[in-house]
Amino acid sequence: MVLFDIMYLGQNALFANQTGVRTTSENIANVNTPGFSRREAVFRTAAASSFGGLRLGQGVRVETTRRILDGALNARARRQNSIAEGSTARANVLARADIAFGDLEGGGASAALDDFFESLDILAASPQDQTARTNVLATAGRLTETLNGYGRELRLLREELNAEIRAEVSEVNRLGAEVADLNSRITQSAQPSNDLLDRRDQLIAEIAQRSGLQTIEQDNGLVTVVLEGGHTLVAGNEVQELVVVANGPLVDITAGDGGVERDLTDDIRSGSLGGILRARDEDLAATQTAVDDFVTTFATEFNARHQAGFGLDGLGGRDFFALPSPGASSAEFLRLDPGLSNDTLAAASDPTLINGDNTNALSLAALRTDAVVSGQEPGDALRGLLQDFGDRAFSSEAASQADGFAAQQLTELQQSISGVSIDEEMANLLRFQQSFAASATIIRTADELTQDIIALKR
Amino acid sequence: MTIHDDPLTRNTTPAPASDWVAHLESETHALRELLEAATQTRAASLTDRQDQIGPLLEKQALLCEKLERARTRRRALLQESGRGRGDFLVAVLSQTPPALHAQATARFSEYVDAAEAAQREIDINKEFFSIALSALDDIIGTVEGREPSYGPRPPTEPRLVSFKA
Repeated sequence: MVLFDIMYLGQNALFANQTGVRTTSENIANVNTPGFSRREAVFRTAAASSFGGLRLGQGVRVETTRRILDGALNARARRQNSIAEGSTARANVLARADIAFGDLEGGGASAALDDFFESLDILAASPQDQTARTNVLATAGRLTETLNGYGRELRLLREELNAEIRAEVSEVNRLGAEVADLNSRITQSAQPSNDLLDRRDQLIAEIAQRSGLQTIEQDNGLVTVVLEGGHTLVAGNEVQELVVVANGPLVDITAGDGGVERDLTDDIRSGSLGGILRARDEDLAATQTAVDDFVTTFATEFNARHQAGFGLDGLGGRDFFALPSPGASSAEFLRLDPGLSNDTLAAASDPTLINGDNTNALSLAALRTDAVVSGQEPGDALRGLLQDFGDRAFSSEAASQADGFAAQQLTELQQSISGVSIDEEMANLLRFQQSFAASATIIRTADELTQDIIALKR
Repeated sequence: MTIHDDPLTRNTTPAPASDWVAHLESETHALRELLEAATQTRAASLTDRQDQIGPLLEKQALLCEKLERARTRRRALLQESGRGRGDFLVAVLSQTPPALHAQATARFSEYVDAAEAAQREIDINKEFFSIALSALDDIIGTVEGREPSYGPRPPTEPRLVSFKA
């Protein structure tokens, strides 16, 4: 063995050692880095060489430094994170709506409806009383304004989500572009950098926080990212971006797949984007429809009864409420009929007994207990739809917590495999230190003994 | 751990004249074993075969003990013959029948070669473990005092390496 060989052997060993310690050091340095996977140096025994009839080991070399991770568990954790992020986003939107739309004690639509029917009871007791008539118009006005507020809030809430959808889509596209770039860099290097692989995994996890996805890893290291609904966001080093397009006052999400434009709005159902879309297109849309249906049915029935009566001017056949044109929100645009006044309020059924007739007022007040809205009394129907919305908000919050808990468990399990434990790394270091110190002691003794033998030939 | 019975382990008194050839052969064998154990220790300290380090260190310690007894015996021979270290071969030949001089000379040459080969390995290990210990001391100094983190909690007391020296 010539001097060069000795140096080479020493170089191998030192390099291997430095890599082993550096790997531990790197693990510790990245203990709080999101997405960092614990590293492990993989050693390979170098081929032995001959020297003077002796077989001398060349020590070890670091073959590679690999990431410690469980691909299947990572995919499962990512999927659960998508679900949890979706549930949380949905719950957040519904919580906002609950505040804006909630049937607040004493100030909600149910209270306004009760006040309205009570004013009709008073009118029935004193059909000729101007104060009672003024009171009916006032409570009707408050009821209308409250229902208008609900309709407006629901519309605005849905429209306000446009900005959030745009922001999320923009982020998905940015992350997708970065994954595509990393795909390119990873396949260009002979031995992919663990940092690049970690970074790509982290980016994919961030996309998954916004939309459910699946990944397909190819032998050459490329990862294809397919979003819910089957749109391929990243293929090789190319990203096929999502596009936000206007759909009336709202926005939809589309993407070009092989030159064909596809609407993905209904496909994305998890991740924060999916949660927002679900809240907008399922929860808020259903509530908006329910409120509009209630208003339409109630106002139409009330108008029919009002048309049957006569005002103080002896005329009948007039509406009480003015419903908007078809297509517009009944709740938001419900108004009192422009011609409605104290004199036109139809409390009488007989035009010849206008001052003393309360028959129609009783009919109007009786609507309170008539099952005219989907087989329910108006008050019950209104409370029911408000309750239904409350249930949605509550269940979305519960789902958010349950899904978040499951995601946390999976993340912890994932971290127990891929994460860095300072304690564990420290124990490794101390173990290294002790065995190295013991080796050093032996080396000193052996060194003295061999030096003594070599001196014999002088 | 099995150390084969040989002239080196039997006693530390000067050997009969005819024993010196066997003595050199045995010590040469011990040096080669030391070289191999030193290489294996370095390799094991870098891999996940850390549990092998204890037995390897123990083996090296026993080999050193054996070589130490041999040194005592050499020194006794040199003292008795009134010669210095550089005349060890002369002292051996003076105790060896002429018919075995060629064999004794060859064994001595192999003996010194084995010592030099072992010395090279030891030199590498000296530098290797010196740098490794220094690096570890730095890292441990940096890490100490940091908050524990996530991940499975291993025993707080590290496993002690078992060896006799």
